[in-house]
Formats: sequence, C-alpha cells, structure tokens
Amino acid sequence: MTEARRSTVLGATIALFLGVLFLCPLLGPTQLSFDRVFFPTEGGGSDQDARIFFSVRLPRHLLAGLAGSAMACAGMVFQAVLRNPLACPFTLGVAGGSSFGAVVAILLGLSSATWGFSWLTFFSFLGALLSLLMVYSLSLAFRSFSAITLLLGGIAISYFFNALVLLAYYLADFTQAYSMIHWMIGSLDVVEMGSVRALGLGSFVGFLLLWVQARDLNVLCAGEELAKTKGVATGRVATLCIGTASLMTSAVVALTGPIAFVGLIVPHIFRLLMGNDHRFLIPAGALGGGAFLMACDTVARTCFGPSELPVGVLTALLGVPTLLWLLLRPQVRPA
Amino acid sequence: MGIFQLQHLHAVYPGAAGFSLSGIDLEIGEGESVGLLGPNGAGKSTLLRALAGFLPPAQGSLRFEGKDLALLSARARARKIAFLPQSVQFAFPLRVWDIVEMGRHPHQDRFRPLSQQDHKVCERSLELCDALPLRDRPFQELSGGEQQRVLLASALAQTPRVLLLDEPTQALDLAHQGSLLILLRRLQRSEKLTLVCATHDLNLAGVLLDRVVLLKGGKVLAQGTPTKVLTPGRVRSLYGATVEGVRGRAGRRIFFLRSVREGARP
Repeated sequence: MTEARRSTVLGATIALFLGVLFLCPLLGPTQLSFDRVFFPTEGGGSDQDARIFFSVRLPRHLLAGLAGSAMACAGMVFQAVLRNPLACPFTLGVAGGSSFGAVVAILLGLSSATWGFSWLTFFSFLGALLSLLMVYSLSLAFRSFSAITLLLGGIAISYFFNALVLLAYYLADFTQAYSMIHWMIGSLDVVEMGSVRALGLGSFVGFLLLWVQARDLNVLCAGEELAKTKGVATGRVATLCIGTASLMTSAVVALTGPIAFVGLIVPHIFRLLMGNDHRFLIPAGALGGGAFLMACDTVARTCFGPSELPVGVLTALLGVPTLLWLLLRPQVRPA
Repeated sequence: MGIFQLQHLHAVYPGAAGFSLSGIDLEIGEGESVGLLGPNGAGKSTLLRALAGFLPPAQGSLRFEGKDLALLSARARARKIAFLPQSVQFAFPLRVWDIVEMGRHPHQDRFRPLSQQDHKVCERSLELCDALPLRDRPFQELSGGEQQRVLLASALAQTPRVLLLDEPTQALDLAHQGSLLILLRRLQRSEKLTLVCATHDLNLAGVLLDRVVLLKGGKVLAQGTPTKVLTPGRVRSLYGATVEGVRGRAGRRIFFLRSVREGARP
C-alpha cells in the first residue's frame, strides 16, 4: 500500500469523522439549524435548538463516537496480538461476561439508576472483568499465553456465560425478559454526560497506550517467534495490549450493551483500504469506528421514525455489505 | 575468546518433562560457521533457540560476548543476534519492504519514520540477498526461495553479528539450495557474520560449514571439521542409516543413502 494512498485514506477519514460529528446531531425528529445551534443570536427564542443539541443529542452522539472508536481500536489490537483475522473485542468472552452481569442486575430488580448511579452498568462491568479474570487464569493454568489458549479459553468462557444468561432469561418474568433482550441488542439511549466524560477519558488513555505499541504490533503480526528475534518483548506487549483493549471493551459494553460487528468489521475495512501498518491503522480505525457508529446511530434514530431501530442491528446490516463489497472488488488487492 | 560460550548448559521447554539439553559444553568463535546436526529430537532446534535467547538456561551458563545472554533485553539481543526461521506465517498481507523494515525494529524508537541510514541498510540487505527487485511485491505471492531470501534480508537488516539458521535449505529446490549456500558463505566473509545452522543436510554441512557439532539426546556426541567428524561410521551410529561417502572437491565427503537399519528411530 503506497504512502500516498495511506495519507488519502487517513485524510478522508478525518474529514468524515468531523463531518459526522458536527452535522449528524442536527438531524432528528426536530430539525435543528446549524446557524442557530452554533451561532445563537442574542435574545430571541432560538436557543431551544442549542439546548436540544447540547443536552439531548450530543451526549448520545458522543457515546456512539467513543464506543465505535474504542471497539475498532480494540478489535485491531486483538487481531494483531492473537494473529487471527476473526478476532474481535468479544473474542475473550467480554460480551458474555457483561451480559451475565447485566441480566443479574435486571433479575435483582436493580435496572433503574439510583441517584445517577447505574447498577446495570456497574454489574455488567463487573461481569466483563469476571470473564477476563477467568480467561486469564485459564492461561495461567496452562502456563502459556499463546494465541490459541486465549482464543479457546475465550470461546469456552463465552459459552459458559451465555448458558447462564439463558438460565436467567428462563427465570425472568415478562418485563425483565424484555429488558434483558433490549440490553443485549445494544443501544445508545439514556446516558448522562458524566459517564460519557468518564468513558472519553478512559478510552483516550487506552488509545494512547495502544498506539504507542503500534510498531511492536506490526512485528507481532509476523508471529511470536519472529517478533522475539526482532527485539519485541512479546509477553509484555501482548499482556499490555490485551489488558488495555479488554478494559476499553468492558467499559464500552457496560454503557451500551454488546454492539455487534463494529470491532470486527471496521478494522478489516481499514486493513483493506490502507494496509497493515498499525501506526496509521490505529488512529484511522479510531476515527473511522467512531464515524461509523455515529452514522449508524443517526440512521437508526431518524430513518425509522417515529420508533427507533436498535443500533446493534444496523451496524451489522450496514457493515457486512460494506466489508463484502471491499473484499470482492477485484481491482483492490489486499497488500 | 569465543562469541558464544556454553558451559554445562541445561535447558527445558516450558511444560516439557526432562531436559531437552543436558550439559552442553561448546564455544563458538567469532566469524565461524557452525552446524548443529543430529537425529530428530537430538536438541538442535532447542540449542538454536537457547542461542537466540528464547530459552533461558535451567542450569549451567550461556555467555554471549562474555556476558550472560539472559540478562540482555530483547532489543539489545536483536541488535546482535538475528534468526532465520524455517517458515513464517503472517496473519495479514504484507509487502516485502515492510518485512525488511522489521529488521530495523530493534534500532528504532516507537514512532519516528525510518532514517536515511535505516533506508540504506534495508536496501543494502535486499541487494545482498538479490531481492531488491522484489521490494514492492506482496510477500505471500513469492515463491519459497524468494520468501527465504526476503526473510534473510530482514535478518541482515538487523546488522547482526550472529545469524542463526533453522533448517535453511529445507523448503528449497537444488538450485536454490546452492545459491543460498553461496550467499551465506559470501555473507560470512563480507559481513564478518558468525553463522550457526541447525540442519539435517549432511552435504550442506560439508560444503558450508567450518565446524559441525553432532548432538544426540541433548548432549554433544562429537565435534570438529566436517571432513573429520562426518564419517560413514559416525553417520550410521547417529541416524541408524547406512550411507556411502564419495570424496568430492577439497576432500569433502558427499553422502548417499544406501539403506536404513530395521527398527531405526522414526
């Protein structure tokens, strides 16, 4: 992949991200005007537009952006460290664990927030950590952090938690069951700015930690043994990257539910567009993943009015054809 | 003084029962080419990985340039010791140039792009391996011989003092084996490289190497120049195969397989 091509894709992604970030929240049941939101005239009754923009639409929009960014980065890192193109942020069982935490909270009747503290978020974060802890101790038990141990451990733990989720679903009454399904599809509604800020800070730190490892990740794609001969402290890099990416995923999933496919498809779209150098891939993926989820959310909340489509459904419906189109386009050879 | 000094080296693969190397005493001189030979399971690959610093000694000592190898960081090690693996599986498609660039990894910091000098080193490494025309090709589309040359160029881009080779000729046809051997000999002289090569190829050992070390059961059975050490009798006791040695140029022996002893180790 030529350097020029890489710069073009990176530039286009930045433009797309900024466009989606500022323009999409203007769309919705109430059409907002760009001028009245960003340049409110003094006096006059026009600052209603600004209020809807900043206190209703922006938190949700920012959550979508952050969630998309974090998932795309985490997905790229998992694919590189596990050297498996099918890896995604949920490969280590985070989705199963956090779903389990969430359904437990719903079953205990803790699904509503008390004084702005969401037990649902708290429990699903704990669930995600529990699943990570289990995969980690499995690897310790086998005394190996090889990709295959982590992959198999993650899959086993996922199935285990999915079974527990089904059990909880079976035990739940009708309303609880509905909340469970609603949570597991993944959605971006009902957030306050506080948790968005916390997620923003957390994922920015995570992003930096991962980006700093980019060159090591490039070499790690060539296999653990070759990476060692090129001077990569493979154990340390893998642990740091997987730990960071897992925590980012857990935090996102706790707020939004397991939104499908962003963490798998966005990395591949960018791998096909700009090659496999993670120094450029990670920032591009962060911006692209954010833009993708923000755009999906905008479509989900505007195009099917008066009701909303769950965004998790839309990411898969839009993402899969995009990926297939890129894969099957004959003139672009992955290189 | 040798570049590698091994004293009573024992090594274990993690999770394996028993020593894979038990009591190796060996010294490898600077600029020397040494072959590790022996039947499957004799400890050739293990010894090579110990020299690469992947396997810390369980007992005994392994010194590199007079210092304990296990104390060097992965980066410091990679600046001095390069390793040519048997084969590589890349998880994602890469260009030849990306792979050669990886050779500069231990010399670079995290973000700065390749310096002028890094560029020169990479280009020179490709040129030494006759692979410069391949630089923009996707690695996956190359033939086995071309891939080998690219991996070798990537190893040379580390500007190492030692090159460790794991069965370098295994996947190559006869002509490519020959050109690889010539290339390695040339590099040994021009780059003052120390070569350590694990191989099953007795004829390669005879042509390329200054010294061979015969391993069996994790121990050194014999060592010396190929002409002295590689005799039909010793090959029979080592592999359980009857061979015929024909004298080639410069007194080197070339071996032909005649028969395999019944019940020889698989």
